[in-house]
Amino acid sequence: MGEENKVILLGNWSSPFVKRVELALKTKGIPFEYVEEDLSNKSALLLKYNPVHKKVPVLVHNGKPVCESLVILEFIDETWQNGPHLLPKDPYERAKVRFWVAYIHQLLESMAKLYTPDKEAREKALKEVHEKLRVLEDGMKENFPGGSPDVRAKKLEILDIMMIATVGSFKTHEEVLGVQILDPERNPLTFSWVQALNELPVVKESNPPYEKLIALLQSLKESGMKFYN
Amino acid sequence: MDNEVKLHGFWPSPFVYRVIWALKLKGIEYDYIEEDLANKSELLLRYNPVYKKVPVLVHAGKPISESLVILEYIEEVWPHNPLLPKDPYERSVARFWINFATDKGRSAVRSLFWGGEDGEKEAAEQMFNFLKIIEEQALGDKKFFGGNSINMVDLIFAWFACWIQPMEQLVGIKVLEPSRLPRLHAWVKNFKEEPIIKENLPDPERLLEYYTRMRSNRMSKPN
Repeated sequence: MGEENKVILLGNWSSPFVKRVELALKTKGIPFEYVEEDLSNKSALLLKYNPVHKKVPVLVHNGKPVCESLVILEFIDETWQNGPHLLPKDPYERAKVRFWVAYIHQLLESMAKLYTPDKEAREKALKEVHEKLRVLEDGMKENFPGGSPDVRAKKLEILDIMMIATVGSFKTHEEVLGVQILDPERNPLTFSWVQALNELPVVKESNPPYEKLIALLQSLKESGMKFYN
Repeated sequence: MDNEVKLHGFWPSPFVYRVIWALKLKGIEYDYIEEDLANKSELLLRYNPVYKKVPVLVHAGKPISESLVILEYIEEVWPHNPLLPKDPYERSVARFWINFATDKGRSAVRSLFWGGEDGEKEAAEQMFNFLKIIEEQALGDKKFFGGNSINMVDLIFAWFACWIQPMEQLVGIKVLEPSRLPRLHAWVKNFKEEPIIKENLPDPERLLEYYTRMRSNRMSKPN
């Protein structure tokens, strides 16, 4: 690969934040080199490129690092202008999308709280997750006036990416925690959207190995360790 | 459809002030509606059903919530007097610091000012470490976070220009000490002297009174 426009992604197989960036790069057809980081033994490169947080993902473009997944997504959309766009063009539509991107980000934070050995804390977190999913369901009805999102023909946009990276693996969480997170009756739109997204080849190939993820989530549940990094 | 701009706000809110500054720096005319957060208007609840918070910007009848989303919107619709760099990489650096202030800043503030007396020392140290990173890595030797002129990063960090002082008085801990954070201290002074900013700052006495009331209400509530 030539030095010009060289893209490196420092990541970890289990991180939903890395997943966001990976899907964005793939959907825009941007060639990149992927470097797997062992989060218990972070590389000198990672510490150099993200001294403030020491976290993945880090996107390195022509030797310059960009940190924080949502900042990276905006950077990708602004830098590679040809081809599919992650965000809409109209400023008001962009504002609506950014609002919901931030909301789905918060949903992920609530889901992370499920991973605690404290039963009471877990029940409280589950209520929070269900409430956020309810708000999300109502909010997304505007985006899909037809009722059911048809994602097959189109390229992934930022909300699709956020959905996959956050709720896409809901079944693994349900299996490990023994709770229902996404109810098709209470969240029909979200459920069908996630199902449709999970059928796409780019999503399937980007999914972490099921058993490996289950094992990781199981140990997180038992130890109450913080989710990623 | 008229192109009127309206801003629903609440006078002590630093989040509202960010939007006021952005509008005024770009010379955008707007109507300001003061919300009583103990008695929110029908309009606010309709415009921001998810959070029911201010600020809400309404442009040509269309509402936008969340201060950072509003600022990006203002920047895109009125690109003159830019508040973000043009270059995508420089923009990503600005957004990184905005994100940092939002995540780490908020939790540092919460621990120190609403955390109670136990662990106050640790909270103060946490706040100092946060500010040290900002001073060394975000501000550096520049006059403003935006360089020679203020930009969106300055508007986000403005919390430390005006709102930290009443808090410091309340808990009796000085965090923004000139000897420990000289460049940040200079930035506070420079920021408050900037045209438009200096005419649009919350009244410090009124703020202190407000936070005193809030803090005593919160502390007296059982957790």
